[in-house]
Amino acid sequence: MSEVFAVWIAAILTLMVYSYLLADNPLYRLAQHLFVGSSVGYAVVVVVHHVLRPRLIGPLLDDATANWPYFLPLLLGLLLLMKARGSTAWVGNSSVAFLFGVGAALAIGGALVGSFLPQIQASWVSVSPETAGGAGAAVNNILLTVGTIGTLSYFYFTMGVRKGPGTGFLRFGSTIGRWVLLITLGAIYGNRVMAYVSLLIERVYFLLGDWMGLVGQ
Amino acid sequence: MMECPECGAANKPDSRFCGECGQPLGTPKGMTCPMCDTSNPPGITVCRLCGARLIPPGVSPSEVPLEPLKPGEEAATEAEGEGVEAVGDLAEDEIAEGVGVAEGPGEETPPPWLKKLEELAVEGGAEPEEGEDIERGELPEWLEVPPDFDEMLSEAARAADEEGVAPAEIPTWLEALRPEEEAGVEEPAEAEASGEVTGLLKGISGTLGIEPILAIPRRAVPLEAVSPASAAYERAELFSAVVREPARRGVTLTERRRTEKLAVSMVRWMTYLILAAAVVVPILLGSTWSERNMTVGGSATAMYQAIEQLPPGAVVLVSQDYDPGVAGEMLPQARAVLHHLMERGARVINVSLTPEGARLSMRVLDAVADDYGYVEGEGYQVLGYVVGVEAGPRSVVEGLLTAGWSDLVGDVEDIALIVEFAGAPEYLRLWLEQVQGPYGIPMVAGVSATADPFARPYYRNEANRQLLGLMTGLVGAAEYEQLSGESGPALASMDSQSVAHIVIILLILAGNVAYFGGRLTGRLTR
Repeated sequence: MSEVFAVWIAAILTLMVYSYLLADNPLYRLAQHLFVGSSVGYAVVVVVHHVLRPRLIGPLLDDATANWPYFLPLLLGLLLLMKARGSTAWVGNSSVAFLFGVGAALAIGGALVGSFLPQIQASWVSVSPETAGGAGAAVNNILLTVGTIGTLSYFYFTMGVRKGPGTGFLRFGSTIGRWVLLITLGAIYGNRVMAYVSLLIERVYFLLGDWMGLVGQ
Repeated sequence: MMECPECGAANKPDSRFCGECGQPLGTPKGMTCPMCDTSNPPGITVCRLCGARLIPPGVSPSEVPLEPLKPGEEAATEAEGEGVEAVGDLAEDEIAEGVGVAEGPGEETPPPWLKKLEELAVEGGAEPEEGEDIERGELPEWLEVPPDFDEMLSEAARAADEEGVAPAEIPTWLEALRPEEEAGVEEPAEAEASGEVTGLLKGISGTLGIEPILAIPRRAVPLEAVSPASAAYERAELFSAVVREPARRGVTLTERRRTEKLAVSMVRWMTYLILAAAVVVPILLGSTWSERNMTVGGSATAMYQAIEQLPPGAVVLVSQDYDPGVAGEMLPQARAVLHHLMERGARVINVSLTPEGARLSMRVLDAVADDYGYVEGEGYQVLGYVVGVEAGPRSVVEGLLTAGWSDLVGDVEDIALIVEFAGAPEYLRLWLEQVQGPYGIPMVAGVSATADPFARPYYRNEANRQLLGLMTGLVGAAEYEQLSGESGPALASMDSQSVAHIVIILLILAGNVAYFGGRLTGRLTR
């Protein structure tokens, strides 16, 4: 019974969201507000049940002496709550500094190891059919090289925007980079359209199958 | 007595500085050219820059010429002036304290220009008697204007006439620019005043100050009769007629606007209906054309192969990082991959970097685990939600390795594969940068179609093999179902997806044809 009720609620909310096709209306706004509110409430519940209780409160309650390091994140978290009031906001600065410091260190180190250096290495490719693994692979690698250099030239703002000696090559590369970017943005747009069609199909399946029972999943 | 050239105060003959204003007395100011304002050293009769005469012609030393200074003397005079200026700061301090600097011993000799002037005055009979005291503020006799100065001026003018100086001839073009005299425009009285009465230009007429020039009103320039072109006249008449035309009835315009709005709305609803039909009709018909004819891409095949090669019992870390907004794409992917993993006997550790993903993934995981008889805690384990920032993926691996989050993992090599389902590219980047790169754990990914362009370079990185396999969107899920032989919702949706894509392409083409056709028609009409 509860599942049927949930399906009806979901179907009605789905139709309320699609009513935006007519115009901006109170039904759409109501569904939007319900979604935002329920998401926030759900996130709070998940944080309590998946993070705070099993990974902080639980260890401290089990054996506080052995798990004394857990007091440190607890203290930092409590200090962060002081940010709620302007007069005591400075108390939470150390927590924010800790968060930003650790986040920045992980982000920089991870970006170097996980994206920057591997992608530079990946752009070092062979354009010879013998070593690239065939003519098709060689053409692909040439396109990769030209596109990479052109895109970098496009974002090299110091030179190239003005006509002058020595900037012709850079301006030519910048033009190629602009076209590469346009093609990339077109691909992103096409993928986004494909994603939205997939989401529409999923909702239609839900309405026709789970709600109306016209088709089986 | 020595008179200060700056303030006129009388100082003792040997004074080096003026007792009143502090001006150095040893370097009297040279003459300033009245034409170009150049400061000239004393003793010269013409400006060294523009060549203008510095003293009136009447007192020109024609009878008693002033000998020009020798270059050495001029240099000495200039050097002396510069030296005094250089010590000006110190001298000013001394003067400010009222110290009698001017009362020092008179060791300096008078400058050459002063000697010349004194000799000139002596020859003119203006030599003061010795011991004669000159009152403060009075000019010495030898510096006063001689009584026959006017006669000297007239003689100079007569001499100039005798030399045959012809009056300047004004060219015809300049004469043509002379403004005509108009009645009613009064010239300022100052403009008609006779020559200068004071200064070096005394007695010279024809000079004009700046004030009279500014006071002259501008002459009114009569406008020529305007004869507009006939075309401009017609346009003006048309504009006048349009402005004076009474407003049309509002009903007609409103009806036209309504018709246009209705047409636009009709086109929009036609687009909606066509797209909805493209999605709904294949579903209602239960079409399976794509299921039978679909070709599988290389990236999905690589992902399938990576899981197919896992040994039985291998530990696989599955992270399902998406929200309800992309669940339509991600849930079929997760379902297909989890089926394959459990079919291979892999042990699954499930985690999520989004709160909603933790709940959504559980629905799929529990359903598939039931199909294969998996028990939570043995065959699979749920870690739940981990905060989705840089520290999140890192804390998962560190928690597994050091904090004992799971009994399935004791070492990093126990994790045979990471399967990432990313609804947004940020989550994929987090796992790649925080776990795959630093720990070197093999990784495959299923991403939303929106995130595919960002994920593809990691899969195409043949040098590092950052992603062993990649599936994209609902199409990727369908490909995976095709490979595993497990028909599911993704394959069933492919006909709708294909027809919708074809319809969108046709609509884009129709829109472009209508747009460019409209522009062409409008151009031809004009």
